[in-house]
Amino acid sequence: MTTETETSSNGLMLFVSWVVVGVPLVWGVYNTLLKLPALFR
Amino acid sequence: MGFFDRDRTIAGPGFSRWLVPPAALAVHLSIGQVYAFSVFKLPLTKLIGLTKSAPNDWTQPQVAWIFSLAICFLGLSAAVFGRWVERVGPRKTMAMAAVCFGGGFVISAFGVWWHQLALIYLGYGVLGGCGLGLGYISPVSTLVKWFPDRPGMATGMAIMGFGGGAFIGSNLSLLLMDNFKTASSVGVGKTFIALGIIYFCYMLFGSFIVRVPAENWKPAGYIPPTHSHSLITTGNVLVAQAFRTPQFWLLWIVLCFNVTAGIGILEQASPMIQEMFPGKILAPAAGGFVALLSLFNMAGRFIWSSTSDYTGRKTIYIVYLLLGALLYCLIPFAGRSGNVIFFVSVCVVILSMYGGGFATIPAYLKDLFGPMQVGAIHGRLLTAWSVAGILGPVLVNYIREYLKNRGASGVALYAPTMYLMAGLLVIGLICNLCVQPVAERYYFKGDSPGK
Repeated sequence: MTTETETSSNGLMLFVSWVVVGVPLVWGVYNTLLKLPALFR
Repeated sequence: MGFFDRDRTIAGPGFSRWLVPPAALAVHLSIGQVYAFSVFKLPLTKLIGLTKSAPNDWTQPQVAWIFSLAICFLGLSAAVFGRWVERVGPRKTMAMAAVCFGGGFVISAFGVWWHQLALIYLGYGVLGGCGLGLGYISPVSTLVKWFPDRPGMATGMAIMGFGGGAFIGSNLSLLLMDNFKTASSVGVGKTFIALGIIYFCYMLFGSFIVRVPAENWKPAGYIPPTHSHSLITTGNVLVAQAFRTPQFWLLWIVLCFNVTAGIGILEQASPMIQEMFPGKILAPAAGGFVALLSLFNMAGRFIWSSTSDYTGRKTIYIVYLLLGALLYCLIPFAGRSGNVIFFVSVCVVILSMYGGGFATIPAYLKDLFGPMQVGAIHGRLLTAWSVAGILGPVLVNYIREYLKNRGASGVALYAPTMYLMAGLLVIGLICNLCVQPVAERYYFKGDSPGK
């Protein structure tokens, strides 16, 4: 594998990994944020 | 040489160290579900009666033991298996944590279907608890080795996942229960199976992508300190020796009291705000307050821990403990003032520092004892969490009950406890101020700690 393809596959893996952990976290936080207006109403 | 062996996880040239935090997050976001276990509390007490508890249904105190057992076994397994974790590396540990945590859910599902509470104690409590402990400490050592220049940020990111896991866990569990609910079932059994499979796969993903750095690897441009300065050592202390140092026990007290104070508020947050602001704050608003505290608990883990890379660990703990003590003293004043925004602001800062205390401790241990066995040392220190997990809620609940029986109400129900928590933080502050560099006689002199 050339250095260039190695770097691009590394970059893709990096992107996919962060998406896999980021999406559920954002979804969980978003659903929790929906409960906040009740406190300040 | 098997896929899960440590030697198979050594990163090759060109590997990006930024792949390691997602691996750690995958595990911590999963095991953080334990903080959301309360969503199963009511459904588990209505397995037979469905709409309301039948005489043969389990009671809330019986169900509450599932969570307590899980937290207890988290601390115990982290302490007992710490050295094994260091020896076999993060991949095998994360995979084992996935088996225990996912398997715990599956066993618990049978406990639900056969209505055997002991099976849930064994499944989620004991086996799942071991999964929590293994999963919690598995990435710590690896992260501090990959990020010697920013250990606070790296471990803060992972441990933030433990806080964030509660948000995913609670919303996902409610979604699944709603989906699996039928006229003859509350849907908990199938939800446990689904969660077991989802978390098993998610944790295994972390196990697959995690790597350990090659021997003597260091980030580009990073110059490791050649002399020990202030509290950052250049030596390494083995877990068996660390256990004998005063620094370990001082930090044990610091963590224990910081967690005791925070967990006391977190556990009692909903009734506390409703009783302090009667008629002004009702149950839905109290739910919003709990959600806000959890968000700050999560954010504090990353923000405070990352800040400690610049301020130093001892300084940041001075902030947590000193500012924390002052804010605890302000809570009764905020309650009496009737100003909800003021009260909420004080509480969220306290909870952010509670999370920060959890997240900064691995980097503090790395500074004092070196990176070699920091995961195992961290595992032993987590017994402080087990103690605090009992101490905090017991103090808040029992003092409140005692005062209520004597006719107290509103702010008066909580004011003495808040001053007591402030006192505990002051003791923690004194312990933190006593922390000095570890004496060289404790340093490990060989090349490898042995298998």
